[in-house]
Amino acid sequence: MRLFTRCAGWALVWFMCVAQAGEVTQPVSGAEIPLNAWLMRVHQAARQSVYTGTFVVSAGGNMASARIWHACDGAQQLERVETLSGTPRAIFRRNDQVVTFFPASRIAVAEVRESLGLFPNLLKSSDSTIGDFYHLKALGYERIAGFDAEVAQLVPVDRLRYGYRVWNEKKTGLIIQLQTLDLDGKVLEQAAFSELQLDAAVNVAKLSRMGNTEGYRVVRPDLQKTSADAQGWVLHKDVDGFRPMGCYQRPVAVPGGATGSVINTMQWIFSDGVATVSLFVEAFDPRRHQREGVTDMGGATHTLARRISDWWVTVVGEVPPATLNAFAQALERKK
Amino acid sequence: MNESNASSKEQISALVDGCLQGEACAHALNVVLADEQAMQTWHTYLVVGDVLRSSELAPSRSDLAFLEKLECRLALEPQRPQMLAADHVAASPANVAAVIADTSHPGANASVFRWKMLAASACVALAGVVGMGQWTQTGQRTDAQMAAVTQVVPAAPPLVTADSSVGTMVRDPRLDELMAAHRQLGGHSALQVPAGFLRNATYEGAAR
Repeated sequence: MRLFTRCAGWALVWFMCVAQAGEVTQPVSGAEIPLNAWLMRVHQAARQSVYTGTFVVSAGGNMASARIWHACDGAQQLERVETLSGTPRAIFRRNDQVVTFFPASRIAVAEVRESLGLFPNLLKSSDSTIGDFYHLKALGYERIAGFDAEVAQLVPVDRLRYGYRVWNEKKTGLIIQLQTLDLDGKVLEQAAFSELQLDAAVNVAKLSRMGNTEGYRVVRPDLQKTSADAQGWVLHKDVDGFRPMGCYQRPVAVPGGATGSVINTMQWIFSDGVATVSLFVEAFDPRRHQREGVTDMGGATHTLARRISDWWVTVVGEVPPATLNAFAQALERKK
Repeated sequence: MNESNASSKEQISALVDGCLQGEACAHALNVVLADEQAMQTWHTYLVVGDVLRSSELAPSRSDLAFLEKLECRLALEPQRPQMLAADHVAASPANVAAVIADTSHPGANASVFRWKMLAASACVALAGVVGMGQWTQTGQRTDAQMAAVTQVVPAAPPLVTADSSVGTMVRDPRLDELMAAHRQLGGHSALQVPAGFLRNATYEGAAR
């Protein structure tokens, strides 16, 4: 009996120690988490994990899903996304090189997405101001797609941006579910793995073969780097937290216009480190440009159109309409 | 002549009452089908029979006056614009309206007002159901269907509106292009990998 009591006592002490140790590593629900360290972990997880899965996006009453393969070997990140809804297409990514295959038309669109190489270098530098506009709060733990996940919420400090609730796989830190929340905390859209296999049997060599463009006509979007200044545009007032990330110009065929007639559209991109806003400027066309104001594109995405003398400005972003309006009102033609 | 007329009327009366069998029935039918006046007589006897069985079936003077007024008003109604492409016309409400307006081949019960009212109500209900179906399906139209709609209205800008639970959405091909450009170059987010990139790769916008 004494032996049993002693054993039970030791077991209780051991259990309490383990529980105590667990509490030290796990953030208390509601506690603030250091944002940059957390974002670095998220990036490391994305760069180091090998997985396959099914990814589901639901936004504004619409739903889309895709089959995902992801492999990495330290220097290379390879990913293949095969959509299961909408236009049949497969997206192949090698680091910041992205090729979209359209099997019906046998066309492959090849492009470079500089934004993919931007992080985590930005997070390491002192330039990162994400922490000035978002706080990260621990929300506890949940089980998602068969994995234990830590739940955290990115809470915006003002009403110019949306909040995000993020589920990270507990061991690796990989984001397995992401919700965008409106200003009242209501879910606007959700992206999540409905099924995930970590450390799946997929390697870089095997996945590389899936990016073969043989039999496809490769098209490269006619994008030219430019600057808003060179295009004659300026923001007379900054929108809090948003910084210019790049400016491009692309020729776009005029719908319904004479054959071969194209117009140049400027795309000026801003980001607060989490949300992105694109400012499109093109020549005003009374036949096509008739509806000024905000349009809800479903989910977190909104657009706002405004005429500025001979120009038509369209602001697009996963931000509240007030933020788009702040951009549209701040944009002016250089004198 | 009068005698033969009387005997043929008797035959027609017997035919309406279902008293003729075999050859007599076939002969009476031939007479009715061959002679327009005999056909009119047959129809009159049918109506008389109906009225004897139920007075409600008899068109009264005021009903006919109302019907005439209704027909005049219907004739004055503006014609529905031909909204759909030719291959869709068969199922369109406009076609249903055309069938209603076609009186060159009156039905056997054409003179009975209640039948006309019933047919009119059924057509209105059918037009309503078809119309509602088209209205609610607007948000789920395929590109081909949207193209068909925009092709026949060349003067208007190619906008398609769709009501969703979150408000009115406007589908404009040019806006779709800008959205795609935003998804392509706009991924400047710390949450870009994997969630942001996979989200943009998976989701190409509202229902297409």
